[in-house]
Amino acid sequence: MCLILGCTRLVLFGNPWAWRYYHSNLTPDDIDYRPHDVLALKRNEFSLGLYHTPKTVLAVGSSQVQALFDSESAKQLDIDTLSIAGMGPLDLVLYQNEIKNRKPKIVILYLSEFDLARLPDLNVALIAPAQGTHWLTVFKLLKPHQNLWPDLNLQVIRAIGGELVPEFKYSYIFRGLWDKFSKRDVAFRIKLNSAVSDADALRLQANNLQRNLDADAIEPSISLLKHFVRFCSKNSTSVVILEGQVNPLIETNASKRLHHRVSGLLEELAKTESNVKYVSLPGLRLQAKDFRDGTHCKKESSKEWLLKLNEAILR
Amino acid sequence: MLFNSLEFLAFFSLVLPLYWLLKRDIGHQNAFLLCASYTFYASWDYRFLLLIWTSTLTDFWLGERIYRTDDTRKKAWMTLSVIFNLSFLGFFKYYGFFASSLLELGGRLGLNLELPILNIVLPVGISFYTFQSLSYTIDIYRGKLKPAPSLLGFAVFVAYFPHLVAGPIVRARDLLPQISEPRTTTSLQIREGLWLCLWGLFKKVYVADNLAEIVNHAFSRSETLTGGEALLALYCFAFQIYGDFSGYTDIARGVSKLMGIELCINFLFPYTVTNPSDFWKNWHISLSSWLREYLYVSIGGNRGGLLATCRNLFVTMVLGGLWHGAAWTFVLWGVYQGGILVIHRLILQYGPSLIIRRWRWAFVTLMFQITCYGWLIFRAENVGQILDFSFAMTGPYHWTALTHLELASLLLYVTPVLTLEWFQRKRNDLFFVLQLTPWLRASIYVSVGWLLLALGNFGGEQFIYFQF
Repeated sequence: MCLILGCTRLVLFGNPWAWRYYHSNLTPDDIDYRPHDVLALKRNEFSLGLYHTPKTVLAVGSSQVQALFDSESAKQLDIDTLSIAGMGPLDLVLYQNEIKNRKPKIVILYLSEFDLARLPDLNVALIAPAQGTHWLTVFKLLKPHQNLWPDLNLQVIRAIGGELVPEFKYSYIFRGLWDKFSKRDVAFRIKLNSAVSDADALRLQANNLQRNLDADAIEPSISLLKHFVRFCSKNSTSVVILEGQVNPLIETNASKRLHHRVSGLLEELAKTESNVKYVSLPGLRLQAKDFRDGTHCKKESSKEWLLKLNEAILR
Repeated sequence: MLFNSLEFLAFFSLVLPLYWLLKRDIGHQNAFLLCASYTFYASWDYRFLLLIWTSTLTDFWLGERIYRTDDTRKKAWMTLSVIFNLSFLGFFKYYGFFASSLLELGGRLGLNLELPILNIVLPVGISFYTFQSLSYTIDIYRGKLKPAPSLLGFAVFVAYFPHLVAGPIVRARDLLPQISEPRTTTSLQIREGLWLCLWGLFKKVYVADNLAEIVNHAFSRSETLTGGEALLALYCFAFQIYGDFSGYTDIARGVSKLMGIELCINFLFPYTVTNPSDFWKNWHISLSSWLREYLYVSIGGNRGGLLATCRNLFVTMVLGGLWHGAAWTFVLWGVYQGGILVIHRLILQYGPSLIIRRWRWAFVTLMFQITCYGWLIFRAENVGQILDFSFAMTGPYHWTALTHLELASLLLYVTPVLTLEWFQRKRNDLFFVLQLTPWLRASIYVSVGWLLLALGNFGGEQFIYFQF
């Protein structure tokens, strides 16, 4: 039985071609953005040791980071990116070894209330990289805030179970392939009024942001972030935290208050942790015209922004 | 605490070793089993325990009364037991339904009826354990059973957690002797129990919960379905409910086997039968045999000629339909089942003698369609949905994205179950997998386990029969 199981797993999970196949055949529409980004990471994992040349700077974060740093300019400036949709402080802890394996000297984080005042979704734990005994540490970090996650124990058990049984961990791949074959999305699609104006889309994003912002999430987020920067410190990696932002058009008074609170806490963190630098420069602040939606920067604006960043800090 | 949850896995992993450790003393073992069963039941709502305690104490006492009194007063105690159990079930399960129906009827007739509307939460499993307790007192009355030697044994019989919330409805005469005697779990029972747990979980998580999403989607847009979409949605539901309920029973039987206690078979290839009578001999066997033994026979059975037999069959099935749930669609489903049983009986009596053996598969297919139409009535939330589906099935039957999904899903999810059951029938052995060569056995375990983990729907629904 072990032989059959071993061979099956080798074919399904133990080779780069399988991951390449999954990544190229499944789109974010089939499996959602986060799992798709995880597939991209798994695909690259095999080539990392062979072809990857470590870069000095590694920008880590959500799709905001992807929008800011994923351009030719970033490559010219010797900046690598590790970005996953919705990547927050919990992910920094869960992906710390992936970050370490890229051997950066400096890790850049782009953080604001958008990242730190939103409750980390524990479902991400299941599809995160293998943690082994590190789960105990993660559990210990989250346990004091269990009131925010009533299903914390269950999610951690699920994640540990997923590590033991990769078929369960990566079940989204097989579901995605099956859904694609059976045209599930077409069958389940409900016709929506697709003619949504840019202004309406922005209003929708503003409402979503407002709904998801939660001041209670800041404390656990900061403690997770602290754990991450200490891990970086142990590995002699500096952390530069850039003051993040969303499109000024979707900001509200409540979000601005949270933004100030988060900035204050990050400044404090930079004072207490020797390897952390917090950067909040008016020159790096983006305008409404620089955004293509509520949270993501336009490609052309990102080039300009990167040059300014290089001028101000990296150089 | 659902059988397919991590909570149950943790619960049973703790209970089973302790249960085995206590095997030297049957009293301690039963006391432990009772505590575990009450813990399991209280995980839904600890207040439900009061109900099960009331039912247990009353029926234990009534059983003693029935057994110890002379023949003239036996009937009075028996009547009291029936009234108690049915009132108990009636109040908690049907009060709201009958009260709102009466008020609605009164309103239509222009009468100003005053009935208090109570928001009573339906206690999980009440229909199952009430019927079990009732079978205990009836069996004592009929002289088929002696009262349980101890309250502890009887309480374990009522509350035994593998069958407590969704059956099978075990007779006291089958379960009490096993509870009263010291028991050991044989290696065969362990192997069979583990296989049943795996297979039951597979039927629930892989088959039923995956098909449930498609069925729910189809029923949510019943007004716009095409013929093919409606028909395939009913096929999907037929296998959803089969996977859900037979999966639950398999896990219950498997868990019980691991504890050295045998529970009865509840499903035996119900979609391969050729007539409604056989369907009820193979579907929810413990309920249909209960209804036959304690209701159908009690109201006359087939002792009064064809007309009386048909009437008794019809009444039994209507009440059986109502047992499933307090809604008019379940009454209608009972009428439908009663109707097809009566028609079958009349065909047997007056119809042409059909050569079923030769045309077996044609009859199986026809019976499957008849069953599926019954499932439409069972699943529908209102009569409007039944009409929507019925009109949709008159056509047109063109290919759509939903028919593609339904057909593909039926093939993916149902094929493994039908294949394995085909071999079970062919070899006339429900555990034929355990007799295979190690290589074949390992391949089946890996395939079932793999499909379960990779494509199972672990965020799925509650078991359908929990609501009954």
